[in-house]
Amino acid sequence: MAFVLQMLEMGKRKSWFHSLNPNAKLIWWLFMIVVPILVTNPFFLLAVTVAIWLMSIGAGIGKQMYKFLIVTYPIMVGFIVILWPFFYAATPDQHFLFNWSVFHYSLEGFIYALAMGMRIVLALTACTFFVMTTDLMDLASSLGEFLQNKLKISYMYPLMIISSFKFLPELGGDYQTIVESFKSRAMDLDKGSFAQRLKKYIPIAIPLIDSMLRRATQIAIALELKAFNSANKSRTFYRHHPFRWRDVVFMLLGVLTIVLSILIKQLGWGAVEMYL
Amino acid sequence: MPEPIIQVDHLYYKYDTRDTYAVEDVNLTIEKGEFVAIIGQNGSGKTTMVKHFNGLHKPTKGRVIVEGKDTKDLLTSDLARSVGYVFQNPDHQIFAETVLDEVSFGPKNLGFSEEHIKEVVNKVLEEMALSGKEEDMPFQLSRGQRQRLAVASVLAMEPSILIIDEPTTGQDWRESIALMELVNELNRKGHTCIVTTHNMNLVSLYARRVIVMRQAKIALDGPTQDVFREVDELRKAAIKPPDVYALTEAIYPGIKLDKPILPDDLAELIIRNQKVGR
Repeated sequence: MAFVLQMLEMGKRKSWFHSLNPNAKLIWWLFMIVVPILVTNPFFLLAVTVAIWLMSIGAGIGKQMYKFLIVTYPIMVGFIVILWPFFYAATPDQHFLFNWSVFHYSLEGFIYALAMGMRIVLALTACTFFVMTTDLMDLASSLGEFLQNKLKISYMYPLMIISSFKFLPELGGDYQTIVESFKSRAMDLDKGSFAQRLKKYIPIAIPLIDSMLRRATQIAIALELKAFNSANKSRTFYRHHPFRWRDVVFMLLGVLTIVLSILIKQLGWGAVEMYL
Repeated sequence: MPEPIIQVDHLYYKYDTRDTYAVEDVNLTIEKGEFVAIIGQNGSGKTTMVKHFNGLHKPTKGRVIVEGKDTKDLLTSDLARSVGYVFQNPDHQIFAETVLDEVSFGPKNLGFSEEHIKEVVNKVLEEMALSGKEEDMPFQLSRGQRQRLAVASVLAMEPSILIIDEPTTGQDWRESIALMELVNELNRKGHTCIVTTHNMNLVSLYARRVIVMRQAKIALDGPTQDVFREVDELRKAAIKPPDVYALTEAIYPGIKLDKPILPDDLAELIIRNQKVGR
């Protein structure tokens, strides 16, 4: 939870990447999600991931991104590497490390799983970069402005989604305080087996749910009191997020990556080689 | 002979998400049995500092010694036996179905015997005026009662140091006084009490020592009556002392006070001086 809060806090920093239009970053992020769908070549995916890391250093969030991803990468990749080979179609020419009945684990399956893990790594890195360089309220406002003015879609919908993120820091703050209050009453959350530790979180959930419900009610009342979603549909926006050249350049970076992905795919280098 | 119970030695603390220190080069000794109020603007570092006393925060630099032990080596759950911490919002700690379960939660975690738990729970419920409510649902209690329940559930662990963070938030004057009276009573019984608050009138009424925090540092530290007369320093910390201090200073400039002054004390002083023709 603390990590999530830190990630959201990062979005408020100042850098060239932070100053970009949130919609441009959203579009870039969507491109980065498409890249691992188009291409499975781990070296290409690795190159794109490294590029994002370099951008994160430029944005001054490298340290925080490292702290988050150093924990998340092994979990995600480890999970895939352990499970995926069991579902990799077995053929007699594979190098089996384990083969019993329908259960098999081959070197080819392992390599393929690593490549699949690389896809997750890229998606995760892009997602983390996007969250850490974007203020979620700015995103809500720019997205809302775009949806309302260009697509005639109510601002309520993006606000509903983004609000849930926006209040994450406050919810996280409540969670932190609740955990601290339980620790102060001699509850050691780190001791015991996994099941025992899980059980210790049940008492924590109760005040957290209470706090969430209170907050949700307060927000609903506050929004209504400020005439949110009233009969007047022509809502105006205090902050405008125009598209500037830098936003176009940033989006073009995403387009360039997609073009490269398609090119690599067309040249036949887009898939995983077995290297065996 | 005063016995130090908390020693803070060149304490620095920085949150991961911030570039500046939330607590910077703080040095402090709190003696056993003191009643200390820590005051300051929001964000001045008072809560961050007191969270070091029960190990919720570990120093970025420096040391915090509680009852002779460095908190760096101890978990909050280990320190809970010595340091009780009551949070600002009682709803952040209430979870049990009954008052009894809520109060006995801490002692159970500390491994108290069943008999001892029964004894201590009855005692604190009586002290907190919650006797007879053992089977009540905590969430159905009034805000004042929930605040007292939060204090009771901490006191049940029999800590020698009691930290209360903003004890009067969301309470009316009568409830605030009642709670502070309880804290004062605990102090008289030997507990070391540390209160962080914005309520200067309550500080004046109860605290014998005041620590003013400003921009992560201690700006003033001394007996209540002395600190409240440092008007210029207090102004820098955006603190307005109770009016009685300004009035006393205006009537008797430079008068030496040996205890915190209350309106009744000033009235008595005026009458006494009038009698002797001053």
